[in-house]
Amino acid sequence: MGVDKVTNAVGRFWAVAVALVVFFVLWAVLASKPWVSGAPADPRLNALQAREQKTQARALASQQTLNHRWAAYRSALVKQQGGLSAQQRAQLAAAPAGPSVIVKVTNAPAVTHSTSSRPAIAAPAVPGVPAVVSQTQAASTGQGGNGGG
Amino acid sequence: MDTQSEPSLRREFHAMGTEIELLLDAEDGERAQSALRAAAEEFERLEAMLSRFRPESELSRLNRDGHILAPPDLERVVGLALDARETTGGRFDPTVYDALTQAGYDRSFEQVEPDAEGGDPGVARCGGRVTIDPATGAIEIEPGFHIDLGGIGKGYAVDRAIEILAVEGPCLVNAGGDLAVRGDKPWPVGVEDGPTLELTRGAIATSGRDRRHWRRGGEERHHLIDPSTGRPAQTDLVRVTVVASTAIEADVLAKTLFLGGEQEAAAAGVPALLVLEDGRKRLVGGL
Repeated sequence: MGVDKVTNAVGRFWAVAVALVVFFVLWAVLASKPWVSGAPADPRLNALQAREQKTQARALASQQTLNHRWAAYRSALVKQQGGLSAQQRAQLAAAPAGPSVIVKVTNAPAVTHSTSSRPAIAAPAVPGVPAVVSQTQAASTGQGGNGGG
Repeated sequence: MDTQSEPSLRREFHAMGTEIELLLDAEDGERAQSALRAAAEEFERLEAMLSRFRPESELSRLNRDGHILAPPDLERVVGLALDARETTGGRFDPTVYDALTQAGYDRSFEQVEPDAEGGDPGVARCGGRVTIDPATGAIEIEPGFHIDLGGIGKGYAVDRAIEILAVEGPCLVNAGGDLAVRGDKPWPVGVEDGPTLELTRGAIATSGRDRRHWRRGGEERHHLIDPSTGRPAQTDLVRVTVVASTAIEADVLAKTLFLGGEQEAAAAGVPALLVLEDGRKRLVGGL
């Protein structure tokens, strides 16, 4: 009989504890009002968010398209260059061997005197240097220096 | 065909800051005119891509952003410039941009003040790291450096244009001192302060400090930068004219010999005319 009383007391204790836990959990769930949606957001904010997502998706798609086209272009270019190289090799093999430079001093009148890269404004003379008549290369591509020119 | 006769077709125009001359020995017709037009357009296309003075050029974008997915021609020219830097031990360097602008060449030469105030330009760093990814064509420059493709870009354009014209007959392309011929016809070419050279195959380039020069604070400055000092080069040479197989090669050699001075240039074995500061002229390298 004494054993039954103890068992009942422990059982009652657990029953109360579980009931309390269930109560607080239920209370917390109900307090959060899950059936009520959040506060109505600013429609302008919603529109902006939607627009941002749309723009991001579009940018991603554009980037993917660009990457795809660039890869296709590079691949075609490499293929084309390979073809050209093969063609050039064949031409070189067929062409009679000879020096890459053939030059000699002549007395013939020159067909070109260089239209010169003389700048539009007259540059001051270099002390001790004779006046220039024709071509000195001016580093160019818009006139650069020694990397370029 | 009379090999010494004047070319039948000639076209002249202004591009890349200089006068361009296209000579073609062919019958006048739609094909020849079309080739001349295509060669001229090639100059304009490459200038739009390689000019450091055009803010919208791909080179300017690369200099602004430090990286670019480069079009094939820009990738090729930068690659050639880096190869030249390696083969010349750094005498030729595409990263002289900052040294040039510090020296006063910060705008198209026509707009550079010929004589103005200005202190010491300081020493600009050269030899910046430039990487090219051949798989994507991406070029990246080390932060703090910028690229100038002036002369080598012009040489590249000459080599491109001559290939276009050569399909129609013997031809010569001259871009203000950088010139090339094709077609195994001898072309008499006048060289400043030197003899006339009959060029049948190859290219000629001239580099000197007697044309593109200016003064700052009473000090003489010019556009040929010595990458080892970051300042306009000081040598005993005023001008060097070089004969080589392509315009790009001639351009690189002309600058390299100029920076090396008389003794080095004479010993290099490259066909060249050296014009010295004391007025002497020397034909070297078997010319």
